[in-house]
Amino acid sequence: MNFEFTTLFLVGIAVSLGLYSGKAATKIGLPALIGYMILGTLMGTSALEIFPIRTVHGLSFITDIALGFVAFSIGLELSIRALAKLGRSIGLIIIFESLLALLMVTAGVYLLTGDLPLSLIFGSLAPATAPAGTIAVIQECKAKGNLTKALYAVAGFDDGVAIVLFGFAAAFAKLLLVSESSGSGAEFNLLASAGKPFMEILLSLGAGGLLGYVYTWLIKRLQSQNEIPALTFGIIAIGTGIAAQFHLSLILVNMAVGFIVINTTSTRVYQTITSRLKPLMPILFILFFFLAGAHLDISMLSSIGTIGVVYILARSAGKIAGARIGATMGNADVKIRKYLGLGLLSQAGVAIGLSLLVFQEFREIPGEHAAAIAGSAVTTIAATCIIFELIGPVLTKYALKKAGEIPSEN
Amino acid sequence: LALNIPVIAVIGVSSIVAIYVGKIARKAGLPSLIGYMILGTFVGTSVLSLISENSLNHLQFITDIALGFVAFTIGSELNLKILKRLGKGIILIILAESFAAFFVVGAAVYLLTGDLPMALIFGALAPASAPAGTVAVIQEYKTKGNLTKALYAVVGFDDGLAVIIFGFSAALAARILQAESSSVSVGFLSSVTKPLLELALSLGAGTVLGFIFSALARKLRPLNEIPALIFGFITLSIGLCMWFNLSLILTNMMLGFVLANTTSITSARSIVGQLKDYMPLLFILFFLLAGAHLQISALPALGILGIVYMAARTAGLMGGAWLGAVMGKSESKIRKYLGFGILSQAGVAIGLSLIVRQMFEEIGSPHALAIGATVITTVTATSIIFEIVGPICAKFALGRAGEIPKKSDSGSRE
Repeated sequence: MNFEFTTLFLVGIAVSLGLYSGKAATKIGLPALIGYMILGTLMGTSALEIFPIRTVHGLSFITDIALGFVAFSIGLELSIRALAKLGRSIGLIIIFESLLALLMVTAGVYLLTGDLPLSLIFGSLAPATAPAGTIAVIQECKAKGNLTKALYAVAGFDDGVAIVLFGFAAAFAKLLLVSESSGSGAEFNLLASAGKPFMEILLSLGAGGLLGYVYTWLIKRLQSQNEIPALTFGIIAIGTGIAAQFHLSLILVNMAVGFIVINTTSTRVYQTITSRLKPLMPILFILFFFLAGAHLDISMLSSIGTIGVVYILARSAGKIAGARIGATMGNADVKIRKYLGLGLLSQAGVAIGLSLLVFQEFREIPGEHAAAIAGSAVTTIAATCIIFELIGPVLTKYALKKAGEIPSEN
Repeated sequence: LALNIPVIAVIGVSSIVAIYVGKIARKAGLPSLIGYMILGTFVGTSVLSLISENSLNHLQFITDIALGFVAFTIGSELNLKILKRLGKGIILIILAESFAAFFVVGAAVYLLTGDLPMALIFGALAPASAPAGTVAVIQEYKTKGNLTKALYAVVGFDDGLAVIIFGFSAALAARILQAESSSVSVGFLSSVTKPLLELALSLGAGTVLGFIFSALARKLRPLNEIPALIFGFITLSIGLCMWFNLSLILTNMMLGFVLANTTSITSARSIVGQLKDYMPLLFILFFLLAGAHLQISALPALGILGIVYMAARTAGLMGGAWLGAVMGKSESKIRKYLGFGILSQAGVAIGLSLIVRQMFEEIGSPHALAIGATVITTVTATSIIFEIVGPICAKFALGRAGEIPKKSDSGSRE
């Protein structure tokens, strides 16, 4: 039996069945991506095992490109002109929802366990949101309006803030653990580990911005619109490759590309690009969420325990309350104030990725405490991500509907 | 170069550069895909080695998927009404070009070497064609007319005949070699029925999947989800073909063929039309990788045998196509130019020669081993030439037949 055939056959099954499980989900009022994910979970390692984990790993080329396209399309929505209209409230919302999620989770877990480094790690993972879920819901419902724009902006930009906060909080937790096991002499480490995430963000934005300028320069000079897909694919593949090579954020790099495109070209160029992307996006969304579903391990749900419950409640409360405070301080629309927080609960790839970083870094710290934290972070985040991915998009759709931003034909 | 650039970035840069190399090729009057292939050769194992052999093998799925889309497109162009209008000429052309290629190459190689099994093997490989080059040229120049339609039909269906001819004569050659060395015999019957079964299963699987696909595609809304459905069914059938050793080209062609013949022309057009934005990207990736696979170092191995093979295959295909067209009373531009459009040979032929080597290694006699090695080096080398010359000749033929619209040279307006 060779590996290649299994992969393509299964990918074909996944995409064709995924399309219809998405439709089934829409029928009962859930976002289509929940359908893709449930199918993935069913076929994946945790249930029927039709889709072995080995196959999932072999597809990282596809998942990386798909995530790159998703990030690019987020960036494309971040028009400064539109942002300026929304005003400084967006900035305030991002800061408050991220900070409050971090603080409430840290406090909640600390009250439960009395373990400061552990609480800090969970707190640092809380701000990250999964924009793909939110974006998919928006595109699927063809939502339009101020809340939609605010969701694009917040879901897109808060990734950056989440990584900064994670960098600081994780560095601080590491410091506590190291000094716990060795005594002193850790000041130097604090600086080094705080500087690294900053560099990572700056380099990601820089590289993506540069690619964005190259892309717009080229796209303005294209003679035929038929070449847009090749050019777009090329730039996103380069961005993804650069991110892999230099350990940058794949999401930030490709988002920056889209950001430059929307802000340096005319609306007409933007419309041609998005209309060319349209036939491709369903395939990417199906594959991406199917594979995410296949990665999930249902048996972890039982091991989630009280920490997981506290994490879910505290993070949700922090996001919703933080968004409300930020929106109120920034005098945003009433509907943004009321509903934005509900749209920010999805959590998946970034948080799992960050928890894997913790896992790798903390295993190198001597002592059992660090190892225990590392293990707990990975399993709990994986389990809570299932729940957030299930309820996040549902709540996003609910919020959009309540705010009246879903056209009635849907 | 020891630089360890991620493959994905290499592919990204190459596909952007390819757009411009393609334009240069067009300025020189060549199809863009020649530019992509040359670029691929530079990036690939022969020159800069920016993509390793290992990563190329990992990216094989891109080539397979692209070929699946090509075959699907061919099938969707083959409306039975159109085929009937083209008449029995098409069938005669397919039969004549395939058998003529087999006999002319077989005879020429036998005259050169006096080695019957070797002649049979080279003859067996001659009919295999590579449809991607021809289809890429047709789509790039947006050609229209009867030659275009006839080319779609011939490059699609002749794959089935090539499989059968290969199956029979390879089995015969193996039989002769076994008699020589009196080794354990592999059943002759099974090696003859196998290709027939393969053909029937490919057509059958493609038809069944085609009916399911068409029923779903007709009802699917919104239209922008159609590409996902097509992608799903094409990858599914490719996976199936690899699993059961079926013909990827035939199976996917049937998928498109059933759609074109069970759905109204307008709705079939609108379904297939959803793909048109992404075909150029697929062609870029396909020919970049094809170029990256080319091993320039294999060219010196061409030798007299290779030159004889190329000359005889070209003569057989063109002569056969002409003969078939005359017998079927096809119109004069098909008679004159169709043969030029079907010269490409690439992946399928290399795949078949790998099968030959494996088969002959099992026989194990020195003669068999020698043939196995000669076939693979010769076909690798001749494929380089056919892959470049084939599309250029196809463009020449379509141009001469007056099927390239004047406007398409600017190609920008739509």
